[in-house]
Amino acid sequence: MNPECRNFRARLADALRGPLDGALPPAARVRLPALGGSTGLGWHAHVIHCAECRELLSEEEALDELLRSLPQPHLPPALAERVLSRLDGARRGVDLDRLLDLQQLEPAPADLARSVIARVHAEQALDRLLEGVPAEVPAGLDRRVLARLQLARRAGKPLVRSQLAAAAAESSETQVRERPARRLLRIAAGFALVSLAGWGAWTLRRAFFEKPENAAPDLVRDSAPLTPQSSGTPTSPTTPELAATGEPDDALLASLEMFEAWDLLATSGGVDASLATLDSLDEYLLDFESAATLPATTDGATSPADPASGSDSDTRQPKKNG
Amino acid sequence: MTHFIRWILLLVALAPLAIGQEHAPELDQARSRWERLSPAERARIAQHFDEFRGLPEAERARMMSHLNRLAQARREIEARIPEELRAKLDKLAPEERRQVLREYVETTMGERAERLREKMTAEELAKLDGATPAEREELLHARREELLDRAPRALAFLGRQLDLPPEEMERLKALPQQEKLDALATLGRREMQRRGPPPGVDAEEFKRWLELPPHEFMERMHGHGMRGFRGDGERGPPPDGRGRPGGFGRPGGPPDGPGGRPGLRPEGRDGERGPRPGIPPPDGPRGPRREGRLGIEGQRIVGRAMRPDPQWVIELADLPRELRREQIVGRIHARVIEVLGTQPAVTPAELAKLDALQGPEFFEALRDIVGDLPRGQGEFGRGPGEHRRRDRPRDDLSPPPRK
Repeated sequence: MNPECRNFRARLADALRGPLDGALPPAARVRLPALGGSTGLGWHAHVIHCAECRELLSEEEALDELLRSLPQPHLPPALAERVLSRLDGARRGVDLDRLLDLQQLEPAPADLARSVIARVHAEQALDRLLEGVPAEVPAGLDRRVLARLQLARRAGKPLVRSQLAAAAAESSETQVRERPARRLLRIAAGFALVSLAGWGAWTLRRAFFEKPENAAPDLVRDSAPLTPQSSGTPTSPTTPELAATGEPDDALLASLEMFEAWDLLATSGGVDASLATLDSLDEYLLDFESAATLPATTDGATSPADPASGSDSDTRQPKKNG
Repeated sequence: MTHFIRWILLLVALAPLAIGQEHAPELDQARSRWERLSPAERARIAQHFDEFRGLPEAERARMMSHLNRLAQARREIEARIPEELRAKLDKLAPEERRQVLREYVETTMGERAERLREKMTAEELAKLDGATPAEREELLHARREELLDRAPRALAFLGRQLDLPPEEMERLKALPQQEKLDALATLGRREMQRRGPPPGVDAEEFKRWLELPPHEFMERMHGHGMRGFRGDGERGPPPDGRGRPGGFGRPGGPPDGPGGRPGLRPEGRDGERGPRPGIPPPDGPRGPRREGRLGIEGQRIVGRAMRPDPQWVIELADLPRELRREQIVGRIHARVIEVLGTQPAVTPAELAKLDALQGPEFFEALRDIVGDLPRGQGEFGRGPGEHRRRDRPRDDLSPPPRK
């Protein structure tokens, strides 16, 4: 490649990049002006006698014309910046000459333009499709999305450092504030539980393993046998003690009703009171026993069969009362 | 920690049981009851306590059982006091109230004992009269067991009388012992209800009796002189005087036959049981036995009239004890004159002469007319709470009767 060609292609590259790199708005940058018109490269003297550069310029102008005919894409502004910045990074340090040399070594595929045009048409179809999608946002979607995000953060999404620091500071303050009250509460609860357990154990032990002080003694087993007394003259120390202090033995108190009943034996001569311990049903059965030995009475009244006979008296059918 | 809390909850749940055992409210009640007793009453009870402690251990157990039965019988008697009489009792001073109540209980027990004596054999009564209280408990316990053994037969008999269906009888037979006894009392009441009001009780009063619980009803019927089973009950003893054999521990059968006990009198009917302990013997201090002119039925009626009514004790509770006794003897006097007026064997002149007499002279003259009463038919000249006096050879445990 001669220096004229190289010079020309550098001017072409500049023209493709734009007159003030970065100063033009993105929309203006993607819409390149007609290379031949505004830049005057179509009138450059080199293209008159250099067919290769003239063809290159023609291709670039055709591409430019094609790009101008495309609808303006609705891309986010940041996308263009990101793409361009990455392209800048890629371009940095790349020698344009080498690039051009590579282009010479490896020519673009023959159907590149066609495929690009096909892709662009596909993009146009996509744009039309996207334009048909209603752009209305459901009401409350933003609140729902924010709420979900907050939940997700609480669930485990790590907070940023500042937030963590603030939360830690708040937590430590709360702990410092609550610790004495909680500790006191725990101590009190523990003390109450231990006291309760001790009291329960004590009462159970007294009830089931110790004889309560004021419980009624077992009169039959606990009474210390005394020397048999002569009738009517008590020799036990109980009586004088009672006469002096009026404080009776607990064993006596526990069976006071019983010893009061003894008085009935004393005053009735004993037997009548003893007989009276047979109740009305005993008396009824005595009647049955008496009547069982008697024959049917003269007026036809029935009497029970003889229970003492040993025969099966149940099978007898006595006459009914008239 | 969870286990610890569980244990504590368990202890807390069981603690009320322990507290219930620990505190003995009965003891506190007994103490306050003790404090209300008079010094004389306290001394008497303390003496009984000492006597009790002087008994051998085996005898103490029997004595306790007997005394508990006595206390139970006393409670039941006191619980049956009618409301109007109870209100009268409540107006008395505590010591006076206790005294009246004691007389009431003793009179009621005496009445019941008289009835039971009618239904027991001489042999049984002789054994009882000669026994210590602890021995009496043993004898009566054995007798109760014998009677309870007869409960199924009595139940079967009542079932037939009441035309109960066989399946109902089978159900009754299968009942536990206590329920069987309750059923017996209930069926007994139904059977007596079928018979209608006993003599001397109008339909209205009988209806009120029927509203009582079965055991109460029976007590009322027995108190009225009715027998639970028809044999000889309301119409006096059987003409031939036959009675059942035996007594305590008797195996049954004829007196000198197989199973009988030689030398024991098996007859149980009044008038054939021989001398009764406590009743003047034929040639005792009160002279030879007198036959009288009334016959057995007349004797029974007079004997019943001579029993003091326990309710009189409370009705006359306002009076001093001696005056109360005199009043009660006066009521007995009037009632005896009234029933003798129905006896053809007693002339109006004799009746007027008898009515003019008082005190021991009255009862001696009555004895001439009526004769010595059969056992259980009362005792001449007894007042309320005065039971038959005996030599009480084995009742050394009891102190002398109170004055």
